[in-house]
Amino acid sequence: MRGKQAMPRVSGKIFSVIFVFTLLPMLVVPAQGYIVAIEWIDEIEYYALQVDQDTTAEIVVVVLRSLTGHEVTDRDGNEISDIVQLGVYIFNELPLETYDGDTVVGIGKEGKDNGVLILVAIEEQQWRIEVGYGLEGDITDIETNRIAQDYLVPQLSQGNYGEGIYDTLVALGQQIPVTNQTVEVRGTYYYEQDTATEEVPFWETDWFLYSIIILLVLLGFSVGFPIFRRGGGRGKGGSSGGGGSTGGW
Amino acid sequence: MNRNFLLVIVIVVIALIVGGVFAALYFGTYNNIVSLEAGADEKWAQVEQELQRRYDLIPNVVNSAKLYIEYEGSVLEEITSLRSQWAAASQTGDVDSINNATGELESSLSRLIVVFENYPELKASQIVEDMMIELEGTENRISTERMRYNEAVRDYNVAVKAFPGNFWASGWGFESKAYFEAKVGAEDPPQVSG
Repeated sequence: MRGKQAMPRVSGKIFSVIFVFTLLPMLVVPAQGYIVAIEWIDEIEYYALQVDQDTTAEIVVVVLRSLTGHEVTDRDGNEISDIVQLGVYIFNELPLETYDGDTVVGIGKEGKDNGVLILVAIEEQQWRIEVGYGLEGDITDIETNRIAQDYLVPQLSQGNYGEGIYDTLVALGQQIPVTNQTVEVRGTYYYEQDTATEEVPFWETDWFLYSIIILLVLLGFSVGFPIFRRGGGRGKGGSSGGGGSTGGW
Repeated sequence: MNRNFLLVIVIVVIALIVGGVFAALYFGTYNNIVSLEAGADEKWAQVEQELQRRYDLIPNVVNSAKLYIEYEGSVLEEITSLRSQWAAASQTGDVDSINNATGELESSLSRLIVVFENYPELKASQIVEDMMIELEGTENRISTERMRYNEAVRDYNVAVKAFPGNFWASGWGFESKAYFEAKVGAEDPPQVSG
């Protein structure tokens, strides 16, 4: 599972080396397309950021190609194929990478539990909106269903994934009261199933990265490696307990 | 003399280390079990809260469905009577009888949801649809909290039954806890497709 910022951020010098190394393969291998059009992803990210700044609530969108093959597993190592259980798991336990390379577990702010998850599975034509404990009063199950029926289902059935998700996001965001509190924003709100994990191209493998790093060290470069900041990071976010609603299109 | 003194020192140091390790293990295990038990109890409270939510919701569901369901009235009567049985079991606080009553109630609620899906005119009613969404949300909450409770119980039971907890746990008064299982016919939380 990765955010829109799939490639690790690298500083200038290392970037130019990688650029040369990856230029050739990139010409040969077609770029991986997103399920949702990139313009809509930007709209979604922008609106969700506004919501985070205005209300401190985090509305996260996760789009899966299918409920199987995503490799999100439960405690016993079984892949979760039920959309409700998957939603609860993603909401509460799946580490999600944010824009700065940190990972955060739990949607919403810790202690406030003010997260919302919009989960869409394309192949099974199922959706789920999961609401954190802290927002169950502002967004009831019935309201999530009505919003989904009004904004999500009609667009998804037309194949307009981006527009449907964006409209749903806006409708959900308007339910959440504005606060003048300022807390650190999450910064990344849109996640799509990473289809490249099955066959990682060689220029994205660790050994390739390490060999470049070793090469650079040998050449006497002094560079910072922000890629090593991943993990740990901002840690724990909010939690949910199965509130919200589910349906198909 | 000097050698004996050294020997005594060595023995004392070793005894202190062994004793320290033992004490750390002993109190560490105790604290671990206590906190795991507290975690399980807290999650049980969450389960109970959601079960109560379902209990409170059922009359509304039954009353709104009554207006539209003519032929399947027996399901509604059954749900009403199972709700009372559940309340009685809940009063006793016995996990096994709560398990049983919950399982029966759940299977008849999922039958109601099947009925709901088979009656297009029911789906057309906004009130009934809202009730069903609410019911579905409640069932999902129950299964989520139940899963968390069971996970907490599993951790607790492992701590009580496995080394070194198994030596001391019964002496401290800790017993393994019962899981809160869904009974046959209620494995899958009922789902409504919009």
